Amino acid sequence: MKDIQFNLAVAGLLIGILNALGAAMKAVPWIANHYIPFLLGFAGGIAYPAIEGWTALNAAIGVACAWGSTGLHQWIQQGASVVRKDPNRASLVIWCLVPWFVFAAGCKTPTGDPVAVRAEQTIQTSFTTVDTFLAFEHGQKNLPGSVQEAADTLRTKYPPAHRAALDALAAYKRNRDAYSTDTLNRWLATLLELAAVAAQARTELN
Amino acid sequence: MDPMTITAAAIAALQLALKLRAIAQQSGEWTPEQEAKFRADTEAAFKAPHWQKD
Repeated sequence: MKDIQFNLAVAGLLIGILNALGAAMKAVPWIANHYIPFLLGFAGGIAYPAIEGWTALNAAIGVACAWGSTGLHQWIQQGASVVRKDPNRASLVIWCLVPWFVFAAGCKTPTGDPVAVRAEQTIQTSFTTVDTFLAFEHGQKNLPGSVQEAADTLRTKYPPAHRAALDALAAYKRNRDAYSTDTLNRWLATLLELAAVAAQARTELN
Repeated sequence: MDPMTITAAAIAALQLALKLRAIAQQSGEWTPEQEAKFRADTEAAFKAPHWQKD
């Protein structure tokens, strides 16, 4: 799949401006709230290509910036409302940001072999997810039994899978053929499954 | 769960998000030195107390 290249500075600036524009629209009595995301999407779809060049992809990036801006606004509004009602749900609100950070990994264009770079990122991401979860679990008492069980499963299964994935990555770098790509992908899938165990156990804490 | 546990979970979630963000910024392949360091760091982590079964 071809990586999408975009100007992060222009996109960030646009998100800020569209956020302000959305707030201004809310103050206009004859603009109904439910029309605002569509109007902002239209504005973003015009503004970004006006700066970066008139292509369909730039228009799509502009629309994505506008809806990213409305999503950010909703995260702040709804997150604040959830925490006000029940402060114990604060971690749930913060967890909502994690997919955004993971998504950002797909936006950076690799300068090397994309298969190797994505594999390295997957290995690092899954290790970090599991390591952070185990460090948290180790430092807590009175966690639900299912969380402790998930942690013990990861302590047993993760290290050998991690080593196998690194070996598969080294083999891929030596050969860069279909067979080594397939082996590497299988081990990466295993790491992602194990990281999902950690993520699932974390959601039980919310 | 008690508020301290909830707060610790929230802090851990934020730390994880920041670490994932840093990983997402990588755009080039590891050098052999970086790969060796990552292997050594993770092997050292596996020996840490939180990776040992009680």
